[in-house]
Amino acid sequence: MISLLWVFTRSASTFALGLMFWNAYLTQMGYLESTDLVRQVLVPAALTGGVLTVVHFLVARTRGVVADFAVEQRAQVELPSAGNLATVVVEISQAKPWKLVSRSETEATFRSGFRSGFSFGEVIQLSLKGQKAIISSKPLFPLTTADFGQNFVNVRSLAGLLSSSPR
Amino acid sequence: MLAACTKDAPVVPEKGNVLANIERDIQNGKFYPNEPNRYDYSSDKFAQFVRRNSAVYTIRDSRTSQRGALSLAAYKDSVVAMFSATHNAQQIEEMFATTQQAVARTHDPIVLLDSLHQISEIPLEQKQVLQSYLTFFKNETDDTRIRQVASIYLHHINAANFTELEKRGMLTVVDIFSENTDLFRDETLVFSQIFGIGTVNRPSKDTRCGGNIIVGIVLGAVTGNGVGAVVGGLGGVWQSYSEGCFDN
Repeated sequence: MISLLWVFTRSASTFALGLMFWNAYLTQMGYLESTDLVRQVLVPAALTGGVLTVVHFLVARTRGVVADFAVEQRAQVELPSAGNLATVVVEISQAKPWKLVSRSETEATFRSGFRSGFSFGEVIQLSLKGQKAIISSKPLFPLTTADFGQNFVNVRSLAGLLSSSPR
Repeated sequence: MLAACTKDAPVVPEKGNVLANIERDIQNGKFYPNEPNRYDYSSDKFAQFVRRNSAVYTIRDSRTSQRGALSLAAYKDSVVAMFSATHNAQQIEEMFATTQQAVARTHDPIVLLDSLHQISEIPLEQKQVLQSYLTFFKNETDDTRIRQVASIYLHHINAANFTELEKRGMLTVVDIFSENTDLFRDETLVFSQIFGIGTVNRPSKDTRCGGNIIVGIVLGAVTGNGVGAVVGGLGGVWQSYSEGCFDN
């Protein structure tokens, strides 16, 4: 519930900030005498942020999200055997339409591109320590507050891939 | 002060009844908050209007054979030519002199309207409607009441049988006075200059209404990708609707 409240607060705040700039422009240009903060900023921002949060909640739930509705998702997976990052990266590249952005000895970062209206792209990070793999996924754009469960799907599918593949 | 919204059936215009209808609505405390001024004279709309009606005030100057903006001399020549059958040039010169004197002599638009009516530039009914509005405006200091009564004038002028040019001029006066409530209190303003106030460099209604939608789409896309863009766009459409952008 707290994660949903956070989604709403961030969405509504972004809308409110944008609408404040827009109304300040209209006022500066002489179209509005002054900005009615409640009617022209707070109410539209709260309504739009609210609708966005509800849609995010409903879609994310159908995609398997149960508790954490935040856009940044993390998971820790126990591998069947100690993994080699180079092998894992090749496996992921074959199974997923993600682009490898960077790779070090223990960490690899992928980026997914635009696929649907639900996502303009995510950054997926994989960190290997012995048999432990830490997976995280977050939106490509830092201001994104509603991903409709896309990052959860990324983490879940990668976790499934890593824990099931023998190496 | 709050006034109830009024959504009446369209007024059937009757010549000579505009002022009576306005006075009846004022007495009944009516309010037309969504009554649009059909003549958007923000800068780009004004430019469109100028282009569309260019034939009215641009002529081919017989002395230079060039078509262009009208000089005062060329305007006088064309008026002299137009009225040559009924007036001689001397009479027309006197008309110009009277107008210029009227403009120069007074800062009071009510007196000026009388002068303009005397020289047949403004018909009687249109003059009476404007004078009634300006008299009300002069004696009223409550902005809410000014907006309410201005909406009644807008409503009835829109529906009246006046020509488009007359309506445009009258609605301009109603709008400009209701949006610039200190006009009567500033004695340095000359009436003929009033028409420029508050209208130049203003974003058009299209800019504001389209802007609401585009800003909604951009903010929605930033926060919620494609679905967010749709939600934000719908929010912008609603905002524009509630601001009367889709009223005709």
